[in-house]
Amino acid sequence: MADRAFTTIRQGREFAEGSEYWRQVWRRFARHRLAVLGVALLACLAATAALAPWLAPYRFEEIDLGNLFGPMSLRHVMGTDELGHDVLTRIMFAGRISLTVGIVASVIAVTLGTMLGLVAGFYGGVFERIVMRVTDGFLAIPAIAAMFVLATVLGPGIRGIIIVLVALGWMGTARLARAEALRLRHQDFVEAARALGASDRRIIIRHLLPNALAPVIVSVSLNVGTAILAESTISYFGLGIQPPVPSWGNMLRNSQEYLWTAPWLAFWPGLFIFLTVLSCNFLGDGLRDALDPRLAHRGPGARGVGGR
Amino acid sequence: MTAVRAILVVLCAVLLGPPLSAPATAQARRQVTVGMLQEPDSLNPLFYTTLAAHVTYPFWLDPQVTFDDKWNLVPVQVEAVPTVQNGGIKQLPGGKMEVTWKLRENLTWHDGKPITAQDAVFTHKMATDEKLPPYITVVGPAVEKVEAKDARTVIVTFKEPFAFANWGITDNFILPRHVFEPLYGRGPQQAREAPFGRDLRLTTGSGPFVLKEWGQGTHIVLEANPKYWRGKPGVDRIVIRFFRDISTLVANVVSGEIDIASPPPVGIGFAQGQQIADMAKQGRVRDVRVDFRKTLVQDGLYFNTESGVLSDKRLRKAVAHAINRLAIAQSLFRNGQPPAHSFVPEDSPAFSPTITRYPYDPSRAKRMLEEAGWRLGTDGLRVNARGERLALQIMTTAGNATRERIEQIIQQQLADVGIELTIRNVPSRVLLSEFFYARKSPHIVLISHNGDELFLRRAYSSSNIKPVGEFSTNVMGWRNAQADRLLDAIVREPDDGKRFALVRQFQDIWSDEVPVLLMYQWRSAATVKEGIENFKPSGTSSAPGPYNWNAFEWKWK
Repeated sequence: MADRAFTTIRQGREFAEGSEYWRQVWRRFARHRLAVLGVALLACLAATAALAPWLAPYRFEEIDLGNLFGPMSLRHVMGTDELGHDVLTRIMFAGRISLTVGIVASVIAVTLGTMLGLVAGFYGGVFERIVMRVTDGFLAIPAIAAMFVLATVLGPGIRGIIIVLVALGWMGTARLARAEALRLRHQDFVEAARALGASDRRIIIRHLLPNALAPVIVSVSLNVGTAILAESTISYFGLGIQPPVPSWGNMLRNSQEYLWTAPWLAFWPGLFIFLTVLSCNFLGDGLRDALDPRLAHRGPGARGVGGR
Repeated sequence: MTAVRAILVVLCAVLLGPPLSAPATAQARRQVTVGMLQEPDSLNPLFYTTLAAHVTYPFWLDPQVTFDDKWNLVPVQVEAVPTVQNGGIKQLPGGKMEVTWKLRENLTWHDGKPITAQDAVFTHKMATDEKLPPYITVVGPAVEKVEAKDARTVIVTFKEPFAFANWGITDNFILPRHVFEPLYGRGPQQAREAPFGRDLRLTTGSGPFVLKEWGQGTHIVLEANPKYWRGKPGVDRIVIRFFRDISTLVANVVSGEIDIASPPPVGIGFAQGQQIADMAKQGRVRDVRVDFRKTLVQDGLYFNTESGVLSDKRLRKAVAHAINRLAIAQSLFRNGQPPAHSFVPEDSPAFSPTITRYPYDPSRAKRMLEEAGWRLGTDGLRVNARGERLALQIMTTAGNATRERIEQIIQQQLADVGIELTIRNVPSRVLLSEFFYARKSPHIVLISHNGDELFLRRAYSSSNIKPVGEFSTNVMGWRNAQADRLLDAIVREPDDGKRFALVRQFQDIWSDEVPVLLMYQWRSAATVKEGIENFKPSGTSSAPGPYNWNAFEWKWK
């Protein structure tokens, strides 16, 4: 049985490490039309944001007091806001902040949560209890109060926002990952790997993590939109972005005052946040399906990098 | 037959019984719902820390006097406002001053006990206990003693003449001695921590409405006091609802859920008032009018005169000329909040016609900067002989959208004359600790400014520059010996005419030195449903009752 287990693992690993595996992943991903659309959309948004200093028709801080709440026109494709800023320009520059904050904070928070959750679930016992109680403690902290305290300590800037969002955003993923680890740790493939002398680190990274990826990836894509909107709340407390730097979140917040008289000021940043979240969701769906180990290969006796 | 009888009974009950919809309407017309953006943290008048509490008190606690909508000081709990003319204020030998207050007859607390002079004496005792620092200390520090001559007469002796001696017997509402004395007897801290206002069994007031319920986080309910000395109020109930953000408050105004949206500082702002007025003109909001009032409050740029480049008066003047306040007022407020050249209105007898004005003049600003040694660098920003850039930092309360917009406009206008301005906003509590305690002032702070003489002394007297760690009200560290003498004389002068002359002299010095550049005069805005009569905000924030000083008169048509 040990020989068979060894063969299973060796074949699976070889397969997983092989280029064939990644080619299959890519093919599955490429066939997922919504995922491809998500990637394309995200790439467009990122490119627009990155190239804003060269593409934008105006400076983002440029005020025109003679043209407040200007309608859409050839000079101002998306109109102007309450200070006469060109909305298109600010949308483009705002993408640099919002995409950076949203994606970076989500990835770090989910990575941190995943590793903590997997490790806690794998080892169990006292360590798991400690990690989960710390998680519960963080979850019990009122988010707004925590943001306020962190705002005071960290001071303004993107770095501070990302730290706050990571500190307040890892817990949900930790619980998810822990649940997956609890489900997987006594599976045959894990027992087999252990029997063959695989280290705990190898088991967690090579065997548990790929099988826990599905909920984790979904978590990232959901977190991005939350992080973008949370940034505007943090900026509200003076931690985050300072005027006149725009972000989609603070543009949305500033537009609240004019919902009744100039509702289009909320439409544009809302649309871009929506497109970002949608494309991240599509991307997440595609990645999850592409990486699903149950679809990894069809080779004889191979149970892949983890199976049921 | 039984079924037929049952149907007949029901029909009779419906047709002949009390109408189902009319009571709701009738009830609605006996109640006024007020919307506020802040909730009090405490309703213990000696120790409140929020403006929300300050504006809530007049519903259920009577002051001794109040300002009405014409800014006249009028008596409430007392028979008359003491003045020099009516003999209520007397100068005593040795430079002291005596003020006599006569409480009205038959004033009672809500629990039926009489309000007497001893209540006032005891309130003053608590307010001046060093172990219980009250929040407001305007009148208190100037008082030598407070005595009850009889059950209704209070004699206040001042150490020296004091201009505002008739603003109240104490700084606060008179509190019930029979409630607080047992607690105070167990230790002053017991009085401070007493759940007065939170525990309604312990709470008793003196105003037109009785505190009935405080649903923390959501609302306060007050009901009419049938034994109020002015007669039963015009409405039976006041419900105050708290909202976390201004959009929700405005939405409730538009939907008709709120009858009155309170004015600043805890309600809608001028910008929201303008929007609602526009919507009303377009017919998108019905049966709501917006009440705009002049106030004595401005927003001002406080310059750090103690350290940094703005300790140079020439630079402050240059910055003042570089800012186009008229353009700001026209674009942001449609001239509804005009630029302020002084802290008193120009039609006030206290206004000085000889103040130094700062019209928008960027050429003049550039010349002044050059003369002060700041030349234009290659990047369009100014540098001095040592190569240091003229880079300033401005701060205001984060989340205040109007101020954030003003900062951005100023940033652009200063850039036009070669000054780099960086914006760094913080939460109001952080600004309080950094600004008032730690005195870590940036170059410019944009916050509110007040026109009353007591504020002027707090803000500008060098005696209010305290060591770091203590509460300093002269936060920008401005020192001027002549101004100090004038400010001391102002608060000691009870005669209006003489005091206004001193205020005019102070304005001349102040405007020349420009420690603060006033941006615009606040207009308060409140919404009120058509049908509510006698809603007359006073527009003052330093006295009790900015909008509800006469809540007992409110009624539905």
